[in-house]
Formats: sequence, C-alpha cells, structure tokens
Amino acid sequence: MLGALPAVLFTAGMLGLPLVLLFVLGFLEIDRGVFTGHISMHGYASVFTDPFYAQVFLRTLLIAIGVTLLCLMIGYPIAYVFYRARGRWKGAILLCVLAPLLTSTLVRTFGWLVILGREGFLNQSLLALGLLKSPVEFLFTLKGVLIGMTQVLLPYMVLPVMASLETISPVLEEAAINLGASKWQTFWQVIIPQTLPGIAGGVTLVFILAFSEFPVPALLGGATFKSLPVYIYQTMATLLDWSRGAALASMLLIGSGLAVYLLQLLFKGLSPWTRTAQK
Amino acid sequence: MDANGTEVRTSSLEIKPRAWLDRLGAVLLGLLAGIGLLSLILPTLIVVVESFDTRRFIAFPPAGFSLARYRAVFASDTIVSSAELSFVCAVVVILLDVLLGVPAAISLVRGEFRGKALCTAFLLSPIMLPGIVIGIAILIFFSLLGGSPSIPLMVLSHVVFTLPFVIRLTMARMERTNVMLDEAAENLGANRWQIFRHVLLPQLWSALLAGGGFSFLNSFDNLTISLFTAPVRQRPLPIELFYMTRFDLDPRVAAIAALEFLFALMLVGLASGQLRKGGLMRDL
Repeated sequence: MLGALPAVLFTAGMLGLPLVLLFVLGFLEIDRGVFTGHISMHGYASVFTDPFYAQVFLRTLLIAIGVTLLCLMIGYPIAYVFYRARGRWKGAILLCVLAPLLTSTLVRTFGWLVILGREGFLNQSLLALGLLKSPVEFLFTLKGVLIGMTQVLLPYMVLPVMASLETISPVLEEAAINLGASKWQTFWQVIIPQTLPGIAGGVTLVFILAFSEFPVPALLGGATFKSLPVYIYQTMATLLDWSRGAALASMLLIGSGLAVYLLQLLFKGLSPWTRTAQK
Repeated sequence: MDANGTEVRTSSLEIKPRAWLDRLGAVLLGLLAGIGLLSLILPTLIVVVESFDTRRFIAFPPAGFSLARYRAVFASDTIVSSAELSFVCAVVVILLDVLLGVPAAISLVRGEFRGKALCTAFLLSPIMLPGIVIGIAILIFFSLLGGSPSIPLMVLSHVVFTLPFVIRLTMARMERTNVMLDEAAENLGANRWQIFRHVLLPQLWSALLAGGGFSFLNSFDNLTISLFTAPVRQRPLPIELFYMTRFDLDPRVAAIAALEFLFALMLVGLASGQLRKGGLMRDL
C-alpha cells in the first residue's frame, strides 16, 4: 500500500487534477496563461456552433478510420506471413516490425518527406519505371498524410494480431482442410474469426493513436492542413487561445474515449463466442 | 472484362477453381505483406543513405558521398546542446520512473489492500491518453498555479506518461517471482530492505532494463508533450528537429536521424541478450 502511494499521488497531481481542470477550463477566460476572472461559455460554445470545427473533427475522424483500415489491410497479412514463416525469416520480419518502434516518429516522418517529395524516391522510381510521365504531388496532400500515418502506426496493428495468431492451434486448420475447405475458406472462416481479439486490440490502439496523431499530419500535411490535433496545437501555440484549446483538447479526449467504447461494442457483436465465453 | 472472363475459364480447365482462388489469395496476402514490410524499413534506410549526400538540399538519389552533414550537425551549438538537454532529461526520467514505479509495482503485486485493482487501473491509465491532451492539461494547470514551461516541468511531464510502462513491465516480472523466496529470506532474519535488495532486485533486472530503455527512448523522442511543457529558450532535440523540418527541409536532419537510429540500434544490441532472458515480449 505504502509503496504505491508516491506513484498514485504523483499521477493524481500531475495528471488527474490537470485533466479535471482541463474540462472546467473550457469555461474560463484565459488570456496568455492568465485567468481574466471571467467565466464564459466562449471556449465550448464556439467549438459547438462553428461549422469549421465540425469539419475539422469530421476530417480527423475520417483520416483515423482510413488509417485504421489501411493498417488492418496491410498489417494482418504481415502478421499472417510471420505466423507462416519459419527460422531466419521469422526473425527478419520481427525486426522489420520492431525497428520502427525504436526510431522516433520525427525520423520516420523525415524519411517520408524525402520519399514523397517531387524529387523524392517514389516519384523518381515511378518515373524511371515509366509508370508516370510527370511527378505526382504526394507531399502536403491527404495522400501523403495517410501513407505516413499508416506506416508510423502499422506496428501497433501487427503486434496484437501476431500475438493472437500464435495462440491458434494448428490442428483446427488441418481439420478444416481435411473436411474439404479450401485454403481461402480456411483463412476467412477458421483463422480470421479466431484472431478477432487481436484485431480488436490492434484496431482500437491504431484508431486512438491515429485520432490524436500530431507530428505526421503537422509535417506531411503542410501549412494549411488541419486535423484536430494540429489545430489544437495552433490554437494553443499561435493563437494563444487557451480556453478554446482546453475545450478542443477535452473534445479530443471525449471523442477517443467514445470511439474505444463503440469499438468494444462492435467487436463484442462480431465475435461469435462472446456469449458462450461469458457463461 | 472479356479477357478476364476467358482467363478464368481457361485456368479453371487446368486447375480447380478453388486452387485458383487459393493462389490468388496467397499472392495478394504476400503482396500486401511485402509492401507493408518494405514501407516499415524504407524511410529509415533512405534517411541513412540521404545523410551522406554532398548537396545543400534534400533530393534522392544522393549526388555523392560526404560527411559534410554530420560535420554541420556537430558544428551547430543549438543542435548539440538540445541533444545534451534531451539526453540528460531522459536519464532523469528513468531515475524518477524507477524510484516511483518499482515500489508501486511491488506493492501492487504483493500487497493486499482495498482498492488495489482501482489503484492499478489508475496508474496504468495514462497509456491510453493522447500526448497532446496530457501536454495541454499540464501546461494549463501549472500556468494557473503560477508556473511556466521549464526543464523540471518537462521532465515531470515525461515521467507521467512513461511511468505506466515501467510499472507494467515490473508488475509482469513480479508476478513470475516466487513468494516463497521472500518468505524464506524473512524467516532467515532479513529485513524488508534486505529482502528487496538481495532477493527481489536481482530478479527484476530484466524488467528494469526493458522499462528503463523504453522510458529513455520515449522521453528522448517525445515531441507532443514537450511542445507544451519544455522551455521556449532551451529546446529539446525533438522540438528542434520539428522546427527544422516544419519550415524547411534542413539537410542536417538526415544526419541527426541516422545518428538517432544508430543509437537506438546500439541500445537494442546491448539489451537484446538481457531481453531474451527476461522474456520482454511476454511481459509487454
């Protein structure tokens, strides 16, 4: 009990109280870090009435959904190939998945700036292969943001799916094949349903991270691109409007909390075993 | 459409339609996995290659080989001092994480008290919080208390979000230790400190190493929280890098990025033996 006390007090003081105040502070008028003494709905009211914020919120939501789907589409095959691979290949795939976690997001985002630029690796390669006649603008577009965010968040999808694939008994797969199922059917009807917990974990994690991702859209999206985290940063750092920043940050937190809850409901409904498992 | 249709029919004469679908599925899976794996390593590799370019701007492929960008990095006082600041901060963050996290993890696993589950959930909850929200909440709270962004505030804000990882890893390791060893030591007359020092600590090394490494990298690389809690005049490395990339593509960033990658690889190389022994993958 005593051992946990300092950590609990620290987290409560450094994070608990500030978070509670964050919600309240959306109601206070704060000018450049100084409370003016006025209470107003200005912070929250402007967030809810101005269609501009709805647009930013919607864009952020759609990007997060897109990135999550892309991560699932690419991440599941990676995890599956890892599950199938043997020996040295297994180590190599694991290294590819883990290495990005050790390099900072800024480093990787910078890599994408080099790859996606007009004179960058991707355009140069496509031009050299004759697939393109003139360079395509990837940088500072939605395409670039989606590519960069998918890459940065991919390991968070692959790792949970990998973990749940490892728990599958190979006997079930053999049984399906012996009963006359094709490999394709086995994959969709035997393998995937069993990895639903891993998919649920990966999807939830990637979605929250994508919803609040800051460096990638800030750097790959260009000066005019606005997702919710980028706009919150601008509100706080450039406009110095702290009460609106607090209101927006609260919205971000509530939005991602709500999304986690909805995703949990969704996966509960999808899984054919939850009812039997609960008994 | 027509060509596709005939192709299906002719191939179905040779191999069963099912086998055809199986092959297509395997190729599709392999292709997606290949693209994914390539995209995971490509940016880092390209940055490393690019860091040796001779030109004064960023373009691929490099025009020649030189160490000019590395020389420019070490010649810049701003970059060197920001890297030093980030390094020292990350070390202090590890120390605070261990001082707060290890006693907490031990009492959460061994102790029996009311609200233990709630306590654990509370201490691990910051993992799920977006960094930008943590940063803003701390900035506003301490500003209203009369504080301002500073190095101590930045260090404390990093401890907030790295502490859960240290607690979780240490708890996972604690759960696999044997209580009977503690009891044996106690029966032989050891006091609580001696039990910790000579019985528990030797078993916790792998978790501390993994947790410490994790805290270090996360603190050293953190941008989103530092943007709100770091002092304006003395910037840590990630903020410096952010400004260097945001307003123009400073070629020195390639060299810094390559150095950071090398550093992370060294850290992993040093720890990998320990991690394998300690079963990090299972604990995470």
